[in-house]
Amino acid sequence: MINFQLQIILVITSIITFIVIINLIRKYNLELRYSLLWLFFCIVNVILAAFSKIAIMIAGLLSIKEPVNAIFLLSFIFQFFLIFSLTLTISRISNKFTHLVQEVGLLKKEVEKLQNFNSVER
Amino acid sequence: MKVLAIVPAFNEEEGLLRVAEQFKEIDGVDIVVVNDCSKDATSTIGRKLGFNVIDLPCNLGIGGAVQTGYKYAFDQNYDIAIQVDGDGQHNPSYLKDLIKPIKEGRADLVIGSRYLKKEGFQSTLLRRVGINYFSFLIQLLQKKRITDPTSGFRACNRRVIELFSSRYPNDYPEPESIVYLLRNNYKIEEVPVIMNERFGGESSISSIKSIYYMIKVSLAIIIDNMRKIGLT
Repeated sequence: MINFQLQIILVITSIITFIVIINLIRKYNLELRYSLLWLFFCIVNVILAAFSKIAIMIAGLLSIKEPVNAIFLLSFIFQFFLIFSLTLTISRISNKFTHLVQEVGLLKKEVEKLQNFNSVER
Repeated sequence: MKVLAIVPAFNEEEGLLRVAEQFKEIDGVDIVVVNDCSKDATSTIGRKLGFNVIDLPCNLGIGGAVQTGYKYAFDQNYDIAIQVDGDGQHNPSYLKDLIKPIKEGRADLVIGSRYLKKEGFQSTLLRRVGINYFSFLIQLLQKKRITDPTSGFRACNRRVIELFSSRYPNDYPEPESIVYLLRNNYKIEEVPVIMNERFGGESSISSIKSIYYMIKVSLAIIIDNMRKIGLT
């Protein structure tokens, strides 16, 4: 069984985290697109902590002695996916950034050419 | 009045032909095609057809591409900007109807709605369920009935051009931008239009992604509704 106090703590911290994230999005400090997994994580946490039967069942399936450990394991796995999705995003953005920098470099060249052309004309 | 038609295009080498065809009869409207880093000949064909083409160095999605058009409209001092899809689904013959409420000062944004008179191409069942859902959500939050909240066929005045230039939602921007405007007390009106079936190319949203988008956009709309007036 899960300690009742632990359940309360997990539920309350998850709800507070959820509210904080929503508020950051509201203030335009966070992009909803990248926060969705975090919000989902908070919801899953609340459900797992509130309904201890699910955690106990999962612990049984994985042959883990304490249900709490099952919750921790699931948290770890979720964190892995969270961080990996961020790694994917960084990779994508890095590629776009490269294209952007190259574009700027080439544009500067065009501007240089135009300036030279204008001064030569005189 | 200077009027600009913003045509976002991603892999629309066939669609642009149709758009050019439809715009033959129309004058008094400038056109800018925003090429969202297409993989096909969209840019070449756009230029061959005589369009003004902006080639983006990276793919931004519909929100980013359309916002580029609004920034262009703002920089070039246009009074009215109209969004027209790059696939030929939107018929420019409705341009006058779309602009009329803006010219008469009755609205800041005018949406061309397929569902006011329910004529013409009505889209798939799944899409219509989604559209009804967003209609309901917007009415719930902002007390305004918008029959076609996902329509990309919209015209707006200079105030909205300026607003959209600085902030415009990214994925599935149409419903979110509507709530954004309503929350800031802008006036929105709808006029009935008939849209054609998609001509060539592929729609950018598959049915599998639809559910993800519905959740995401619902959340975005609800959160936007929580922002106080003036927090643009």
